[in-house]
Amino acid sequence: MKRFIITILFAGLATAWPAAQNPREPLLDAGGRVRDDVYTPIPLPDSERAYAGIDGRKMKATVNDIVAISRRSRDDGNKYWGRIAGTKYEAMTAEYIESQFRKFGLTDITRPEFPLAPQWFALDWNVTANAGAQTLTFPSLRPALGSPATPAAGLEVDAVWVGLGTAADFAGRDVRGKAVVIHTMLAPGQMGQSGSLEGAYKRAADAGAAAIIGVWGYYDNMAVWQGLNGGFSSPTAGPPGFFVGFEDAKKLRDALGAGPVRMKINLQTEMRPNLKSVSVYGTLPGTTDEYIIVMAHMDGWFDAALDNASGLSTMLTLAEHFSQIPKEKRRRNIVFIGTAGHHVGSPNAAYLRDKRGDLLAKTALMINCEHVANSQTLNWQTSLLRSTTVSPRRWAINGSPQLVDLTLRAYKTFGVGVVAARDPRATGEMGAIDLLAPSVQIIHSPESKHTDVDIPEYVPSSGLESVGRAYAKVIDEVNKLDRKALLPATPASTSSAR
Amino acid sequence: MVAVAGAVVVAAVVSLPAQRGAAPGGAPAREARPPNPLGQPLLDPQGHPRDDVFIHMPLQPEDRAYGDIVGTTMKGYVNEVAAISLKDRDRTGPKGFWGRNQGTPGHAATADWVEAYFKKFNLTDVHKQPFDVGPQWSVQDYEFTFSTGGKTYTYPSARPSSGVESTPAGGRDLDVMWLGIGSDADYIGRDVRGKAVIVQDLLTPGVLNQSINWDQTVQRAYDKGAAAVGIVYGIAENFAVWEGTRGRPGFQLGWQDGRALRDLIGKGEPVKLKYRIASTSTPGLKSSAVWGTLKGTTDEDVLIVAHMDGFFEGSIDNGSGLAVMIGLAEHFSKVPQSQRRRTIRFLGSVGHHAGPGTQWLHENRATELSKTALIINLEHVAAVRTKYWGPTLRMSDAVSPMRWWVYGSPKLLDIAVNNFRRFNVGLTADMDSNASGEIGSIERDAPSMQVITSPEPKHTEQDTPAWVPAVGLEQVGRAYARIIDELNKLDRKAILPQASVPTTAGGR
Repeated sequence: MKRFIITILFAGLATAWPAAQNPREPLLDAGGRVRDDVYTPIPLPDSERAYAGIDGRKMKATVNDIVAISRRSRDDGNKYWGRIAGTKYEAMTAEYIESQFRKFGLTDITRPEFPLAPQWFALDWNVTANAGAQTLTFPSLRPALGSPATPAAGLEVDAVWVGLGTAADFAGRDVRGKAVVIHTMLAPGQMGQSGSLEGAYKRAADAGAAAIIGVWGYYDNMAVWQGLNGGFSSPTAGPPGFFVGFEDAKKLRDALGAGPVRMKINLQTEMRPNLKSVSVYGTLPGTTDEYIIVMAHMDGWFDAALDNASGLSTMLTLAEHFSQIPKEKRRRNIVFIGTAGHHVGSPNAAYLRDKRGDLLAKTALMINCEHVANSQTLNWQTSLLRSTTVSPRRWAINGSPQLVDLTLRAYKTFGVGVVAARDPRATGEMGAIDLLAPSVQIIHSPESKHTDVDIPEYVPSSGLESVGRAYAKVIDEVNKLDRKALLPATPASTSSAR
Repeated sequence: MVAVAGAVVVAAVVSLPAQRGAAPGGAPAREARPPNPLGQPLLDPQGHPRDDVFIHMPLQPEDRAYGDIVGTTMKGYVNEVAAISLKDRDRTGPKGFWGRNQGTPGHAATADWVEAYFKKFNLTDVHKQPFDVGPQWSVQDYEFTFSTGGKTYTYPSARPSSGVESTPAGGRDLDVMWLGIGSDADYIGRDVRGKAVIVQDLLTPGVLNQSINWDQTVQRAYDKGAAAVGIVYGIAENFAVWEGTRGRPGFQLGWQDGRALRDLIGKGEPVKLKYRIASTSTPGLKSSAVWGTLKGTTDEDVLIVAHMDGFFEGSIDNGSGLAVMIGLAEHFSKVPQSQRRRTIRFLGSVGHHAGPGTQWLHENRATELSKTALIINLEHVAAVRTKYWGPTLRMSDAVSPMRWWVYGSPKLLDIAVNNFRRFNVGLTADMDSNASGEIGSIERDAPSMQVITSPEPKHTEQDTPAWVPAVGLEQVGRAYARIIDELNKLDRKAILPQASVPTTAGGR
């Protein structure tokens, strides 16, 4: 997140500014990151004192607890590290969630287990580029998710730059047998990038590329776990693929602009069989046979502080908050779920749909807690600046106009910023089941998602707090309404049981 | 700016990491769905976020003194300023160089507008200060037609580069070539001599900070022999922008149009451009700054600056700054002079898009700024926060954080940062290294501060009032009003930079 010092000279101005820097950066900590206490919280209205116990700093501590599991994975020597689905680190996360459920007095704690098909793991990789007498290395480079391995001896091939990888970029370029370097523009990142949207990776593969290297955005130097999304018959059908951060890639690009570049590429992977992933269920009983479901997925790459320690922290906070309310005052049962294997297909969603129709048929509301709070960024030259504000989230609601009204009112009351136009459907962990019951979610998918800068420093306490309080308020308001009043008005848009 | 997002979900347990969720732009839908009957409750009929949905920081009881600084009132000022631009468009026609550009009737009308409000709020010593603004470029007409395979194509966002000369009356014909992001690597194997080169501009976030500048893309194209450079502005929407190509032949295209042209080129058939531009450079023009004063009780002053020029409707840039300046003038005009420690000087400045900025103040700092306790620059002070989503720039119900600059004592820094936070003015986490924009000339001639944002719509035809949230204007106006009040509790010596900081500020 370093800053580039800029000097902008406007027409008519000939001033040269002194080079000295301002002596203080009051909004940054000693490590140059945004201080957690400089974000602007919306004051808690007197009418909402019931939610004062939902404390952002405490929620942030939970994020740190969960991130520590990822770092243990890294410290154990895994190059492909994090709370990866099917690994013991995802299981440790499940244990942590279960322990918190027990601490808050949840009942009916269960752990449905899901066998996974063989899972892809990157074991080791090494990529260098020789440009004249210079040898370039790329610390931010990571294999594309699902990439096939190279032969054990590796590949040694010429590199070729194809700009944005559109048909116009490929025109006249012979990429056969070469390492094809493609600049992908992030809009905003893992969820939308030009290389995928423009079919660039498939174009490279179809043209005979020996390897594909995607350049991740045009700022900073993020290491990302990202699939080529090439439209191949399967990810392993394409050539070996990689993504590399902008700063590293710019060195490669500039070398290619200056002359021939020869690359040495080695990637070792394995398909690991017989892995399992578990969800964790816990319940706060209410006084009726209806349910509210609160879910958050447990797996994640790197620290995965936003994706999805932020969501897990929110779910646990809601569990703690409502555990302190006497059962007789809880209208509906609240089922909390730490869900399994989101990044490998969300088996819990299929489980809910196919095996727990009884539950969904009596569910008045589902809340998906996923990527709920991140520092707002601002592009500035080749850096991505952080700010003292929380990024607005995409949002989706399936339900009645009353559900929309009370939800949006809660977001505004507690300062939960959202994009103005709603998503057409819920995405993420709830994407396959959002229409099976009234449901709400906010979600944010920034450039840093799935990267090594998805770190706790960019998950602001104030953002967690505002979301936690807003969701608690939504649950309380929903509990004032009968389920029928929460269901969508138009039968065609829902599969909810009536 | 209404979002369009398809939806993809993989529900089965798969063997490889799946890319999940609603993919922006172009991804196949999971299944055909009817439109959501709940509609878009946060949008107005034009698809913009409603002003009343923005997150609003409640005014604390101890800040009631600033309750008269009202966002909706200031948004009304933004609308009035934008209307001046639209009237100027009536003068030039839609293909003219319209707005509030220096040396034009649009600028003069803006100066009149500022003067009228200064007088309405009983400012004294209201007067205009004329400046020679040097030869001013404008365009009267233009046409860009691309042809391939027996068909012709025109693109509504196409604009000539600012500063380009007229073509011969019959126009010019050029072959067209796509050059990616225009790096050296993109030129390998490409002979661009005598051709129109099309390059993708990466906005970081918009004009002034974009890859064609920091990657020297335009200059590289000319160095390689290009006859003209076409810039595809950004990766979303279809902005029509005024942007230069170093005074040499060039043009701009919005993303949607640029992508369409790029895909035409990608089909492999030759693409030709025929373009015609009628432009002029007019010497001897003048534009005026406007001054107004609210007298205080000492000989020290606070200077509040907002530049008046602007391209197109110029709502963020700088209808927003002008609106807050008028809002502050009204607020402080209601404070009895006996309670105003320092004189407040308001300056509707000529502007910097093609003119003198505040250079005159710098040159005369010994007399004009020697007793100035603070300079506040009001420039691009409120914009809707956005989020990229495929080829769409989605607006939100939140206000964009601002880049910022404070020059002075640590005490001044504390006052500034605390009040920005108090009124919910979001900031980038690190401070700019200089005050860009209108006070760039005088940033160290006295204690100074600004918040500024320069988003993608800046300098584009889409810089309309819809991009300026009333809440954002209100937050900034109230923060600055309180900063001035807090500052007036301090002697000027306590506001000046510490001795170790380089300064040109006098009067220590």
